[in-house]
Amino acid sequence: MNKKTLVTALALSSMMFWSCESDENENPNPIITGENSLYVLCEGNWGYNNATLDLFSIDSNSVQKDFFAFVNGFGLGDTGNDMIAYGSKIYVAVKVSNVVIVINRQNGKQIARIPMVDNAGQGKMPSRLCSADGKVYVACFDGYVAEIDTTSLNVVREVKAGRNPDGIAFANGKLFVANSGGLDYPNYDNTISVIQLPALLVIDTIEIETGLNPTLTRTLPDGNIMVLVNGNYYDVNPSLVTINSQTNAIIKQDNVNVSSFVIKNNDVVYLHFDYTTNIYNVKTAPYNNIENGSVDFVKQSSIFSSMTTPYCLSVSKERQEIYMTDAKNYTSSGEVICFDYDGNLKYRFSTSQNPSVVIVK
Amino acid sequence: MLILGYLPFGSFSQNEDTIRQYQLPTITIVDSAMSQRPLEQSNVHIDRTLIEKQSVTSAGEIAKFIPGVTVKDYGGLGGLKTISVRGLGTSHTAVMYDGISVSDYMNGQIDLSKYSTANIKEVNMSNGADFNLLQPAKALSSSNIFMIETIKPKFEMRERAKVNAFCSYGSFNYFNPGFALALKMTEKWITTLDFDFINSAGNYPYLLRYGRNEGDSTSKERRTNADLLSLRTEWNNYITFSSQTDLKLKFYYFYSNRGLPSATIYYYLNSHQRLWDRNAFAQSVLTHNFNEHFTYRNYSKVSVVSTHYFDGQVLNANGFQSDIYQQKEGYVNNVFSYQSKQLGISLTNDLTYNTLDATANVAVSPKRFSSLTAAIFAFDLYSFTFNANILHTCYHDNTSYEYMESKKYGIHPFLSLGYRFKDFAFSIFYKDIERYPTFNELYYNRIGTPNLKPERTKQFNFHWAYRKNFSTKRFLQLNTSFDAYYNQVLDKIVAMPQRNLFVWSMLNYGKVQVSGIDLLASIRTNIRSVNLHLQGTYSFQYAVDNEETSLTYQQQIPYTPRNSGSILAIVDFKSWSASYTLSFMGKRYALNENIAANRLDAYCEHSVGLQKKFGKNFVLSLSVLNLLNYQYEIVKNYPMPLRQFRIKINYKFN
Repeated sequence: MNKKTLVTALALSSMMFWSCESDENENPNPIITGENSLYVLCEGNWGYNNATLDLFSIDSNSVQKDFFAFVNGFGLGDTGNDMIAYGSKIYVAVKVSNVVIVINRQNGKQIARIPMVDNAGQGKMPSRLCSADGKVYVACFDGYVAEIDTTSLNVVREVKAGRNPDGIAFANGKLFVANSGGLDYPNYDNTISVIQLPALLVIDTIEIETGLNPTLTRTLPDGNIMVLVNGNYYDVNPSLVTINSQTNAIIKQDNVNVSSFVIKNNDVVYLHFDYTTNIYNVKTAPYNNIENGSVDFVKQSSIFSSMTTPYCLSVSKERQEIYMTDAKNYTSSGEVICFDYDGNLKYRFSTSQNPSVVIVK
Repeated sequence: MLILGYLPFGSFSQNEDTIRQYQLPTITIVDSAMSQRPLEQSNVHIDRTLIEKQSVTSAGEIAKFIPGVTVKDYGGLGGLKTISVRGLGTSHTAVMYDGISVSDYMNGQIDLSKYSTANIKEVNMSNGADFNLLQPAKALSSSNIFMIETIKPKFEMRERAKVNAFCSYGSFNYFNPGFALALKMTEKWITTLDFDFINSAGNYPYLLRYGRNEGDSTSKERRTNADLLSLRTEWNNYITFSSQTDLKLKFYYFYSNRGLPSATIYYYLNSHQRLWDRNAFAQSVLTHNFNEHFTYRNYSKVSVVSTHYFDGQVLNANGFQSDIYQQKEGYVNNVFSYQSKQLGISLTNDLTYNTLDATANVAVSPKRFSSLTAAIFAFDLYSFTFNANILHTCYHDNTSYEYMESKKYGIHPFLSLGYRFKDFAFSIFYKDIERYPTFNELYYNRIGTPNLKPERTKQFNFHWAYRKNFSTKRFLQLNTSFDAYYNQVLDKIVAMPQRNLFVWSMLNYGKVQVSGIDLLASIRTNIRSVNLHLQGTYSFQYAVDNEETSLTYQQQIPYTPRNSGSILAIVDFKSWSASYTLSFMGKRYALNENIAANRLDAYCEHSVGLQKKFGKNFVLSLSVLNLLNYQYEIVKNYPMPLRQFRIKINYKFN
């Protein structure tokens, strides 16, 4: 038997086994997007390289999962942690892959892949993003905030903040960076670094006296800063801290069981979990009167019985919509549920694993 | 004597222990090294032929040729290799090494890559139970039993010493020398010294795919941090006190230092975690025959397992993570059996004491005392055979926190009914058993749940076997078996997120239902001076999530192929020998949801080997693994090696 025959025989025997293997429908054909569509960043699962950017067409009510890989021929990577739109581009922080991926907002094509590694080649774990004055800032788990020039798409400068920054927002010419200390669990951090721009220098460090593990940080319409302080998921409860962006002083701390929030006009809309009843809810309140002014945001509370794990909130000012994601059991396909600003259900759609951030295409 | 009638051709001869072996069709005091089990028993046996003719380096790789067994292989020599049998999950299979269980009370997983084939004589996979009167209760306390038996020397009249030395070298700096020395010290005492060393750079190339579709990007990469250095040494003693009493005494030491290659993360292939393993144990098997009816045996073991994990690139305040886990075990079994021509009864009791001390993650220093007691019955009447056992379990856990104490009891049956007609046998068995939770499941900081229920399995099995030696002019041996089974897993122990991604805990949630078929056919024959051995296996596992409230109800459970199989072919001609193996695994899913994104593609792995004997003492072997250079994964993002070459020289001296 010559070599060719042998190889053919082996290949045939392989095929014999294969023939009984059928395939799921993968439907690689592009969807008809129409005018209105959404990008959904799905974190995926650690170690699975399955972070995705899904595309949902509101007009045709159809989803193209992993749209990014379809357009580019390669995946986003491992653990898509945050996404922002800035100008004509989308920036995605892919935490375990240690890259920031820059995407053409119009067609989903990758423009650049910026490695986030230190001089020794060790990954910085890019975690949260914000934009300011023509730059994009990346809070990285190695403690640094990196500055990306949006023209050259390179990291130009960086500055040391605190332990495992996991939130960043811009206000009043300053960056507010939430140091979570999450990798030192249970010894979390409780500080916010204040970084002056354009100098990129730390000018202040705010300490949250009662609370641990600050993460999600957003700018309020009045120019102040709101930080989600998670606590330790055990005996220190979560709260929302408001910081005066001029004086860098804490204005107030609202003790609410919150796990995600967005700002809608002059209100904060937040994901609430009641420990005594184990019930999820979305509440809303004027951001300056949270503890007393909270009311249910979602009109039909029955929606929560069709969800498993409400996970993150996003908002679109342009479309006047709030998006709540459902992470299910964290390993199965997730879902996005869309409400109008009054809390009425508009539509919902299935996504890849662990959907987190939704932005309008 | 049906059992003695089947000396496996080409393999080592039966063990030569002085204990007399009383053989009835199913009532056997099978000394642990007995190759052939009764035909009524659902069992697959792989002898040393496979190891000798092919470059199979660990017990984990042998398991790929056993139907019903799914090997989870992280790739390379140092990659973790665990088995799950018939959809039941890794911790449901007991692994026995020369008759005594190898246990891991911390996470319940036995890494079969640590058992090098250098001294393995055979592997037996028994579903449900091993039909053996003189066995530890521990062997009855798992759904299935994977038994590894090591080589025991056999001395001819005048022989005093035997040496077997080998050295292998292969791709990616694989270097594996070893020797076994056996001495007949006196007529009553045989001692062996066994040593085996493995070093491998493990830096094999692979193709990294960045998408699932045709035409998606790929890049050629090399595995990093996949090096392995391991050494194993054993000192065995076989002592015959009298024609009635004998003792086997084993001292074992294993050391390894390996990189833990990470998943192939896109755009960041930096890998730096290390693992050091040290395992030392001493075990003994003492047997005493009072007379032809009564036998007593004692199994004892003391063991220390230490594992050190180190990650030098963690973005915490220390900049690293270094955890040391130490497990200690003291074990004693006493078994007493009675047997007559038609009836066998035995009583067996295991007492085990286990401790875990960890520098991280498990802060409560758990200690477990367990007592397992079983009665085994075997009964033969005409062509019918009845085998049964009833097991009583008692687990008592203590921790450094008073409130985390627990005591649990259980009673578990095994029943088997068989019928034999000439060379055919049919049997059915039923087994209901529980897997007691591991230390991690119970006590892992904040995640562990101390009041977990054991995970329960129920097995129903139909077994058919046909074995025949045709005593015509030409040697011809056929061995076929067919098993159809239905298994259930209840109160499955899973980690579930509570409230958010940061708060997980262990829960009894979910059920699994498995329906499957295992097939094996083997033929050994000779055509003039050509010896031929062919074996084929096929498995079908319909293993689905059976929890109605689950998001993945009725979907195939992760890492369990519907279809899998293997082929083994060996041709011997004079001093030459050629071999071919194929292992096949159908598509699987890396996560619970059966979607394309989670799919792992089917693969076929072909390997070939060629051997030549030189004179009386030398054997030279060449092998090519993954002949077609096919890139596949068994575990998602852990690529398996491409084509590899190995050369081995073996020297035997009597």
